[in-house]
Amino acid sequence: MLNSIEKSRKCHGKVDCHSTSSQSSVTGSLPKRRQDLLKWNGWGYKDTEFILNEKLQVELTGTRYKLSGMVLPLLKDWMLNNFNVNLDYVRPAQPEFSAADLPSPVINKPFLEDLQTSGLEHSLDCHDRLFRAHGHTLNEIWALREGSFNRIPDLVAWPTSQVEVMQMVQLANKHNVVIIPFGGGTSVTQALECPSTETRMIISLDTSQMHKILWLDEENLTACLESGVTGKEIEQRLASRGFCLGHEPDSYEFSTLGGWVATRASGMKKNIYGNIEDLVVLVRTVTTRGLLEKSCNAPRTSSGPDLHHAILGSEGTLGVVTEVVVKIRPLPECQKYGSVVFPCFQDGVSCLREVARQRCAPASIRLVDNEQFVFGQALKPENNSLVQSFLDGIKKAYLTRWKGFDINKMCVATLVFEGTLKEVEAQEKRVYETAGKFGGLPAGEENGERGYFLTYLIAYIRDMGLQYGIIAESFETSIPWDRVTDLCHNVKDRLRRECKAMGMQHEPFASCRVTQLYDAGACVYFYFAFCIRGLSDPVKAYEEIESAARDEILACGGSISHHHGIGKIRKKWLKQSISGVGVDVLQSIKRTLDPQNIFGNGNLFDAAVPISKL
Amino acid sequence: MIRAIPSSKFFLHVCAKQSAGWVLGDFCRLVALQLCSSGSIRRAMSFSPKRKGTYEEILHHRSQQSDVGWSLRSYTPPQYRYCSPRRPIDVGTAVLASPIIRHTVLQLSEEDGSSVERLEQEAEAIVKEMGHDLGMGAIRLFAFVLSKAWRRIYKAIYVNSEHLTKLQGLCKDYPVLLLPSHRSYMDFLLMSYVCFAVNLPVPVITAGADFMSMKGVGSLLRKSGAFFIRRQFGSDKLYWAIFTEYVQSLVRNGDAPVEFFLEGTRSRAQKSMGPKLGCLSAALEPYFKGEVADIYVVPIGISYDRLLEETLYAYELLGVPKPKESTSGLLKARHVLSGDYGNIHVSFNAPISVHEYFRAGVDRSVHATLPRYMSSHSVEEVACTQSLAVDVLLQQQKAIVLSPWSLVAAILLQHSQPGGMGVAERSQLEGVGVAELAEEVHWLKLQLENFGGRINWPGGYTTEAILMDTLTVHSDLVSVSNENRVYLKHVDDVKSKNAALDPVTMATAVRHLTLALYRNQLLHVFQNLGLVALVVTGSQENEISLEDLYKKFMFLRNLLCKDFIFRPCDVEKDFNGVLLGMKHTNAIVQENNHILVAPSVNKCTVFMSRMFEPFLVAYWVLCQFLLTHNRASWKIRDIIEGTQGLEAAMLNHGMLHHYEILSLELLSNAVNGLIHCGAICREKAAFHGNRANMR
Repeated sequence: MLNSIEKSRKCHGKVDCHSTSSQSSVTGSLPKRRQDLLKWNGWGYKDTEFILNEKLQVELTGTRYKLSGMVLPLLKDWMLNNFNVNLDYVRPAQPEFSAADLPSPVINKPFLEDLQTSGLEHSLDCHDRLFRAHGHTLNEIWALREGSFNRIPDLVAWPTSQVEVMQMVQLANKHNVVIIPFGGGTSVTQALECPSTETRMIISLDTSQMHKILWLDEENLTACLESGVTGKEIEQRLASRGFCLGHEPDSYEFSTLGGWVATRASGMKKNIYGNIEDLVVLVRTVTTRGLLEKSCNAPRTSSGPDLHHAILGSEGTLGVVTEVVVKIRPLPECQKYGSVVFPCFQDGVSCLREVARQRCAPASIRLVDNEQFVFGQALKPENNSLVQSFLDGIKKAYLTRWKGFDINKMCVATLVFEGTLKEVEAQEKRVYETAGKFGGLPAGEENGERGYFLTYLIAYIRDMGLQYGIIAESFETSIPWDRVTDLCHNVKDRLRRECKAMGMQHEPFASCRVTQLYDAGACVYFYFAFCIRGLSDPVKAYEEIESAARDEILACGGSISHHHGIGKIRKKWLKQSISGVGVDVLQSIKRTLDPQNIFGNGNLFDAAVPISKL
Repeated sequence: MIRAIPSSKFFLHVCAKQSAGWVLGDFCRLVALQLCSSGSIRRAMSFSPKRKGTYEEILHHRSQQSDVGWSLRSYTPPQYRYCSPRRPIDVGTAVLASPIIRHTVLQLSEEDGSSVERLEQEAEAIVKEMGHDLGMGAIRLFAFVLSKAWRRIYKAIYVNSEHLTKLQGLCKDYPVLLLPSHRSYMDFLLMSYVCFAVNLPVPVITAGADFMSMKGVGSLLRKSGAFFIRRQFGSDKLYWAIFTEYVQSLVRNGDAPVEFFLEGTRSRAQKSMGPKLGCLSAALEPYFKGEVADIYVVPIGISYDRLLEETLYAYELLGVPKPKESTSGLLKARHVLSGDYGNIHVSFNAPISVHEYFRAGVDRSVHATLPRYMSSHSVEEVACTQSLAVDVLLQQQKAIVLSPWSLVAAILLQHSQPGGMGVAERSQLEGVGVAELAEEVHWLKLQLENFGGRINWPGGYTTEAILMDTLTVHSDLVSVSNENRVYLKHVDDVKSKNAALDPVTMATAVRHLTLALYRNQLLHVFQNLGLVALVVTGSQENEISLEDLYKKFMFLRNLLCKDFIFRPCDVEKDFNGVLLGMKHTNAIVQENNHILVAPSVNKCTVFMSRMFEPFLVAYWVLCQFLLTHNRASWKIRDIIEGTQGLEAAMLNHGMLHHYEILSLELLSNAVNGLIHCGAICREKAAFHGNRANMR
């Protein structure tokens, strides 16, 4: 028993990867020249991508992930069948941009002179600038592969401490220069996009060189971290001291603590550790008016509205998050995956609802629908062992023949248990018992683990899809329990329907999963992909469809976003979501903290026109 | 083996086995009676081919010839993809367990202190009274029996196939509401029969609770999918909650298409009545609340060449009480099963996506902050539902395939007035020549087609042949002499309980009204044309400005809004449309912005204005009645009965000739129309005669 637990922990996708990056606190996991380590026009590490090998099978290159170097024999057929594509139709990405392809920088000379005097590190290199002109929203990746940018940052700066950030902000304020804070660059809401109408000089303030753990307090279980540290780095460094943060959004390899605060991020294991708003004890934000911070590390205060919540979710419009005191936990003794198959989605949702009612959710519990279940099956690596494939055959036969599961309806819940050995055992027992009441059958660790892998690899798969004319994106929402199933059905229906209305002959891939459980509802995450062959403007088509899907979500009683945020793509629904008065409140905070609109990335809402510049 | 047993016995055996414990009672006896009687099955006539355009015949032309084989055939209709299969009784259980019922019970208990248990028992009783019990056994039994019975009396049942494939696909993806027009008891059975025949899922049907009391038949109807709603339950909150939840439960789970009649009750006058919104808004709520992605609404127009209830309707319209539905009544009515009732046309119109329809006008997210069980419709939702209901009625009308007999009835009704055609009078005394009638029918058919009416007019036959065929079907009403003259048959004097009407008046009125029923079926085609014609032919001037014409047109539409279905926002569009049509057919002559009256008073406008004249006459008499009796307030019934008396007197004195104005429904519409126009106003329980101004 113990053996298997240890094994599964060792296999846990993230722990063993990226061993090159040192434990040293001198260089963080993200270099200044990110394009040396990461793809300039796609997701993740340069050395990792899905390719078609000479046998025309899908293979994951590199060595970073558990599946790296493996062949996924089923994936190609899944792709061909689900999207009605053929491999002759390719849309190769354009070659890397040169300076001539990019807008030339707007230079505020006095500012640049002051900056040079100050000695703050910065760059005017076009590739540095381009890398910070985008997140990973579909249209941004599309622009990199097949399009162009009409506005990118004019300069990139790398402050190394809060003091340097304060210097930067003061300079910017003095010279009326725009600052766009840049963390991991994994935004999927166009939050990092430079407003095309912006005529002032735009500085991308890259926080990646602020990646230190400033202190760790074992007695109070808190740590003070600089905001530019990535999730993976945090966990690695805390683990070496026997602790963890436990915040694992799907992007956690690259996304940073400051970014999590700025977007109100949510981690997969929030059932144990909480979402970002539950994890922060103190946040320091540099604004144009000075430092916004609290006076103590007390766990909770009543002192008027909590100003942390003005910063959480502010999406870089108010200032730069520089330092955060977070709660930490001792590393769990044991971590284990699990999975349960259900006859149909509705049964799965009922089970999750019951788990939430009993408040017995393990660290993570996610329910994927049938489409994603089938997709997950297609990610099985090549099976060299005859015994294994024989066993798989038996498992399938057992489910479909004996238990009467319909392969076209069944779905799976994936589980992560964490805690002491005893706790994990008890949790497992309770969850599997509850699942049994809804027709759920335990389906092994492997299925669970694969489910979580999919999460880390999905963006790599998207890049491969783009190569063959398939565009894909995800979006999410949160919604009360009684509406979860209807929302899933309706949104998927709406996606299929809008595609049909656009004249697409083949049904899109529309899939969802319930990823977070709360007392009053759940978070639902959608994957959506379709073949763009024959569409004159695929990105516009995608945006229209997603917009319709968001309307459907709101009509079903869902929220505008659970954790991705507003950015620019969801601005039009903000007023509907928080009322006109609500927008006014946000506007007035913005006016107070940033009257000149220095933090002018244009997220959330259109800031009122800056008050006259003398 | 099967062939060795006479099919009827075998079938009954099978059905009895399938449905052990049924209360078949009288109905089974009726079935046996039909099966054992000797009449031969009528052969489909050449007028009724297997296929006409997009219409297919489903009664006589089937690939499977034996009724037993057909009704027991494998039947696998499409099913809604998110339906979790359940037994009919589970629907009731789910309703009782639903949050809305639990909430309502608690609320009522708090309000009037009655115990929760008692209310729950009451709820259970209501659900039991309401619940359908749809099962394939009853459907197959009906399929078999009705095939036998209908083949004797109907030449053909035509179903248009153009939207069926789409509809079958939609049934898999979305809940579906079937909304047929309602002009006969038969609609109810016919719809289920047709669905079974064309492989659509058999619907559950909202039926009036008055059927329920029919011994044996009530339970048989339940088994064929009916669920029963009390006609009046006013402010009974518990009943209302159960009714809406019952409907919504069916829509949400998509157990079967839900069928109901928008008009609420059979349209005895054979023209569409204003929609009742209760059932529709209840059925649409799951869409508004985001419980289903969409709902498809299917307008269906059903038309009968000859109605089973034709004289019954005439009596009812005159105020002779409707006989209570009873099984023995049904058995007595079986003599109808020997006549010739021509064709039936069932026209499915294009399914309407509620989502597409409401997309622009409704923001569903307003329901996001209330628990789902709390019933609420936003103002926009109510308005859109109303508008959808009107559209569905208009689509039903558009889909309806008229019988040539409607044309004949319209012509025979044209009244003898100085200079008029006088066909009706003559047809009773000296008859009308078939050739003359055929010419008129042909003319009217052209007008009908010009203005968008659909008529059953088989190709390759002369008008006279078609006329003779339809006259044969209606030989109860007309006869054709050896000299080829058409006579209206005499109706025996009727003893009337209604003091206002003497037997002779009653008899004439019944004859006129019976014809008027069939004429009414085509009025929707000409409703705008008729109003323009009324204005033009009634003008004293040499010319009418378009502006003036439009004003008067609008006034008439307002006034007649309860008698005809208009979409209020389309006044201008309808006006321009009909004007254009009339100019094209030379029915009116326009110069600059004026209509020249003299050339515009022609055969078309005169005919049309006469067709609509009776309505105005009835409204006028009603106003006369109100003006002569100078009273502060009236009960609505007194106005109607009083007016009917006044009309009878005027008819007897020869001042009026339109016996159809005696129709109580017409007078009731008149009252409501005048209320709508603001000529009289409604008080809480009484009616107050204001100054009723006509023009």
